[in-house]
Amino acid sequence: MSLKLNKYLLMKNNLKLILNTMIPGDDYMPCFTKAVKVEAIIKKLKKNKFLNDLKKKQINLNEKENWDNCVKILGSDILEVYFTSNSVIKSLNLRKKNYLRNVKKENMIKLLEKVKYTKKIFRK
Amino acid sequence: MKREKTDILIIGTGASGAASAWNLSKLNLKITCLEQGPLIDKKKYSFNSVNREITKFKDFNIDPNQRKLDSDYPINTVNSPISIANYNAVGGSTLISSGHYPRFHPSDFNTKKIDNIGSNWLFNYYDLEKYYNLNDKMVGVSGLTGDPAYPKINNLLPPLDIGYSGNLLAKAFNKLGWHWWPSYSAVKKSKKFKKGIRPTAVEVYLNKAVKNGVIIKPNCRVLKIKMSPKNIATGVIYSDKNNKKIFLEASIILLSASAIGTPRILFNSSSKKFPKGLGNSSGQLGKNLMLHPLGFVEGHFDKFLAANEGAEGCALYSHEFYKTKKKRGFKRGYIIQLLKSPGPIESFHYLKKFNKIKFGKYFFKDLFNYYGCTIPLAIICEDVPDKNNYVKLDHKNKDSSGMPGVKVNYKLSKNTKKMLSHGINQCKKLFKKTGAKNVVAFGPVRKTGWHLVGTAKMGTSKKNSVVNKFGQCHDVKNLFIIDSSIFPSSSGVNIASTVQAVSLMISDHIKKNLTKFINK
Repeated sequence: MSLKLNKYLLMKNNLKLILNTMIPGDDYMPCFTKAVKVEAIIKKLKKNKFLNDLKKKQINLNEKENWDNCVKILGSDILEVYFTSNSVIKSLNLRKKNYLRNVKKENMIKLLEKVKYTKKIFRK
Repeated sequence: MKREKTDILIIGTGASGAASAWNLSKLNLKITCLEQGPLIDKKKYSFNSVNREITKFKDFNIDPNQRKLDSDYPINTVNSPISIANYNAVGGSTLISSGHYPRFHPSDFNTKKIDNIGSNWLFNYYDLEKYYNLNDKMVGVSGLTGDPAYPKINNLLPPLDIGYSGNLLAKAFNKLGWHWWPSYSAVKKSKKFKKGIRPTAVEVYLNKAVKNGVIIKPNCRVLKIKMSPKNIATGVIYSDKNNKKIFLEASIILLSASAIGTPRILFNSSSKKFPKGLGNSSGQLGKNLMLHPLGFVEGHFDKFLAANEGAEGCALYSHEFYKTKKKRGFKRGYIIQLLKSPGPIESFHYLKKFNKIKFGKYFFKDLFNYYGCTIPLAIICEDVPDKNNYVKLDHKNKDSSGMPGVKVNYKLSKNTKKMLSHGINQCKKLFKKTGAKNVVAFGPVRKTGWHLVGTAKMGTSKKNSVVNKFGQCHDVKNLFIIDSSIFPSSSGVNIASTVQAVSLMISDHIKKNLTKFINK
């Protein structure tokens, strides 16, 4: 394996780790790299020094300065890409269905009939 | 300077310009529309709720001062608590509108007579009714017939679902015995967009007008209206996309550039004969700006209500506090609108502002405590005309063609402040009945100046107004203003439906009296 490829894979793995720490997923929602290919973020950050740093070593995310830097650089990009990905849209819909499974909606017309409009005089 | 010629010239292709362009398009005349913005691919503005979250902070930002596109002009709102929202493109602000389509109330046309506040219109709801009906048919307005707040409105498309949040709120309205009704929404369904799309002026009117021969020239900004010595408008000077100046001769000019853009063009067309601005013998041009100050009240719930789904603009509304009641301490009133809560991206940004969310372990826990769990209500206040609320040219800030921008001077009246405060208290009362765990409220909200009214009011003479009841400029008989700048009062509801109905009425008047204006 060439050195260049090696570095690329290291950077990719390091980035994956960061992204999945930032958006780790839960019972319904996938973690970042399950929803979005990491290449999409690499493409967005193409000439950013940040990617070069990741080729050298893993970033310690427990250090506040490192974490804040990751949030600053990746924050808005990953939100957009993540929440517009098909798998996340599907997950949000599934979550919605499950949460609303036992919630009943009353018929709108029946609700309207319950208001005593006769007491009101609306100016025509 | 290059010269061109047309019979009828329409300046602006937004809600009103588009409606008139279509209405006049069957005449055997050359009709040209000049639009300072570009023609945008439909795919870009047919946003679904997912990409709307992103585009609303970028190219489709409602604030021209943030967008700063070449097609925009600077609007200085340092002296206003409310900033101006608009969009400059073929289709105008309808490209970013939410599609909430109520009509004005009959009482909105007679506020002076009924409540001794504001100004009366020179026609009433019933004069406008047939144009409301025509416009509803063209646009495709969904809603429910029978609202006791309005005269009967027929031929509506089926009402949109009010959703879980609407259901919860409707029950609270019922407990209080307050008026509510499912909203009027302009939403058309298509195979591609099963949930419905907002029909913009492009789809509703302009495409049809173009088929009938109307010429639309995008990226062409009108700088000045030129006059003959006999007080007849001879045409306009416009700047094309290469900043080349062209004189376009026209027999009739229809001005529809909004209550900010219209006075801007008229002020910029001042001359020795009209030193205070074209058509401004009355001194009323630019004055009486009305903006519908908005209060925001948001109920937070422990449960997920899918409140981020449903009608883009308004799912249901209440006109309980629309008419004057002495004991409230203010005249006229406001409506309460149920809005859609923000999607995940906007929710994140909102929470971040208050340091209530971070990336990492608790990202989703924090997000889902808010996302879909809040019900936002808007209180839209009727604004009353005030000569101290005005727009003027801002010579310090110019657009990409070198034309001066606009400076807005606007203050909330005591009446509006009382109204806003009353609205916020009533909404808090309403949320108590819903079981909301807490309520956040504030107002006026700054970025809500999207209903722009006044600034070239209609009236009976050139001593007190800019135009007559048909939008015809008192000073210039072949110049018509067809947008909301001519409205003498603002009502408390979204203006789009009335803007288009008035535009259709004025263009009908022009059609019937064509020989008076066209030099054959």
